[in-house]
Amino acid sequence: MTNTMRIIFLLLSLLTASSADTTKTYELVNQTGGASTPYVLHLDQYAVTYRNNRHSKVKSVKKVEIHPSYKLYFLRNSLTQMNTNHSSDSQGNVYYKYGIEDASHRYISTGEVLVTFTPISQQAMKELEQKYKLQYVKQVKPDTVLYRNRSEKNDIDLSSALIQLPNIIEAKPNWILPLRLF
Amino acid sequence: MVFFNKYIYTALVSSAVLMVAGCGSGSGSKTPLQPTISPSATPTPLPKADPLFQTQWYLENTGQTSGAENGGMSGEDIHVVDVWPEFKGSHLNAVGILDIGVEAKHPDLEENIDISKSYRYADGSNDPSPLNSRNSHGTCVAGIVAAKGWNGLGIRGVAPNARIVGLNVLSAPTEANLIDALSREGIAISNNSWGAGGNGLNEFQTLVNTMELGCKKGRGGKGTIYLFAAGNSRNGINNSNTNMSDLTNNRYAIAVSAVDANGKYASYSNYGSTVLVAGAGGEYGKTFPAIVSTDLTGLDKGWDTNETHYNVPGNENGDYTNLMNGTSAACPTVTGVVALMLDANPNLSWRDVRYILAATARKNDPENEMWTVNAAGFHINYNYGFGMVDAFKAVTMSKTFEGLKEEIRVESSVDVNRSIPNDGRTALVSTTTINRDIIIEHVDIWITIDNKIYGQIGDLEIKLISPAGTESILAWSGVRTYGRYSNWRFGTVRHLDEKAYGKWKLSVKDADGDSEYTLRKWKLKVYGH
Repeated sequence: MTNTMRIIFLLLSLLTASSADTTKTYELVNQTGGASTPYVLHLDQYAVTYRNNRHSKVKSVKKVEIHPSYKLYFLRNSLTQMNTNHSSDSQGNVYYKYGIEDASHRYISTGEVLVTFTPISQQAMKELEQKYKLQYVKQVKPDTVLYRNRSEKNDIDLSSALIQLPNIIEAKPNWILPLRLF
Repeated sequence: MVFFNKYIYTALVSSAVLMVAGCGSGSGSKTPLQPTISPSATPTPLPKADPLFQTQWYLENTGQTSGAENGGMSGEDIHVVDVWPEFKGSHLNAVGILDIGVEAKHPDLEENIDISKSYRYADGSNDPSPLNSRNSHGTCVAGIVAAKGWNGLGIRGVAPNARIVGLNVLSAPTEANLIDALSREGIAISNNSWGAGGNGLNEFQTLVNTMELGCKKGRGGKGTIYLFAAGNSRNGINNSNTNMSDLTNNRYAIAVSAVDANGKYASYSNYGSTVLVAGAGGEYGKTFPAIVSTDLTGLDKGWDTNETHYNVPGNENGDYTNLMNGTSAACPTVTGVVALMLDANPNLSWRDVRYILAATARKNDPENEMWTVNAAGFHINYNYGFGMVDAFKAVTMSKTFEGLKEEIRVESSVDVNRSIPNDGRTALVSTTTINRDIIIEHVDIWITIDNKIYGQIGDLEIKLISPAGTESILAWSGVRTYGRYSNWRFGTVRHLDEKAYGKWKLSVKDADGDSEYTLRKWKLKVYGH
């Protein structure tokens, strides 16, 4: 994320904070399937930077729907890693859903992760990026950022670590999905 | 004259005739042409015929073979030719072709492709052309939607003046790229002739969330129209119904199944309670006709090669193929119809488009045993949804449609926690009540079933029965399906226009009786007005 973008993001966060709607609290199911304390998300404001960064807007968080994710749990239990390479760059690791080794069940990691945030300050975001060695690639949705994984962890393990954080709603590898032309 | 547009031909042989407005559309010239010659008038140039038009059975089925051993049944097409005198698609509503690539310089597509909006995900350029010289899938799809009409070349698209945007995201199908392609600004209609394969539950919730956002925000709040191929997995024990994939069971996607040139379901076409309509997908082109469409140019590229050359006048260079098929082909026939609908009425919302397609679909293959009638009087069939898309009726209804009322959602949840009988015969039936009377547009059902052994769940038959008694089979038994129904969302369109008020039943049966399942809970959500 460039400095300019960070400043815009921070300014927008401050702006929305001053015009906050009624605070909503959502309780998320624990992403890893355990029984730890549910995350509490304060969704009273949200800063939105559009994908192309040519202009920015503030949107009411009431229009942002949060979907509790079971995906990581799902993946961790149903994917079989066939080509493990625990290097710092996990691009190209191959996983097979349900352990079925054919192309229609194949997920390939790319060395990138998709992270969906709750409202977060620029400073907190920067610290998080540094701590987890996340290199900003681009914003793909109003609340979702694509990062390159520069950590020692593979994409699944990094996502597992990120998803425990209070400011993160969802984190998962930017899979090459098992899609086919019909 | 086999490969000459017969209506244009009629005009040509009456040599003194000049074309009147709109009559070059094919059907328009069915009206007797009136000479308008005046001594000083400059004759209006005749629109140029599309030499392969008469091979396009999906546009006008006359029983032609399109290079196969057998022809189809006359009249089994999408009924579009009578639309063209009035609507041909417009450049105002861009159609995104999310695929493997669209050949930007194809002479029959070039005029309709918007390069500035196109995007090649592999290298970030605006050239949507495919990277691989063999795979013409996206080029075929684009031609079905919007090959330029009346230009003296090849074929004609369903919406021959529509604007195409090539987004070759399937050449780099990461989740981030797909999110981007499904949410690109300026795309009114999104054609997706792809999906998940395999025998498992295919979850793509992030992409569904992206579509949900597109339906809320796209087209100035009227909603992007997403169309998805239902899939090509009709294959015995490996059958996959549309509820096994997030992409085809969500209410933001119009799931399209395929029929052949005889108006019956194509041998490969998926089925399910979320199929909204059928389009023309054809068979394999050898025994029965496939689809004729644009191919990568040249006999050394694409599917029309020296070995597979469709050697007919108008395709001397191998720029067209007669081997396109699949729900991939059926989907763009409906996409083209949607382009015509939005041309007729750009104010239609995404919900309006769904409703009109369903309400105007034609009951094809009337002998098919899966036809039934819901309590609102709609003919419904797992193979065809509400039937074969009917362009003329859909566009006609679109012109004056005032829009559905504001959406209302009602829901009810049930905790069950009961074992499913494993005698192979008895179903566990759970009920819930909806206390508000709304007119149904769509129903979603989230179901959690524990299975002691993780994996095969293809022995479960799951049905939803509405208060009016209409049944939706959500999962068929006797197929190979892997996964776990852990809050899995099923959908059904079969209760359209029924009333939601009353008792809904969920029936779950372990058909082979050799597994141990527990129905934990389910949730019903009804969308309507």
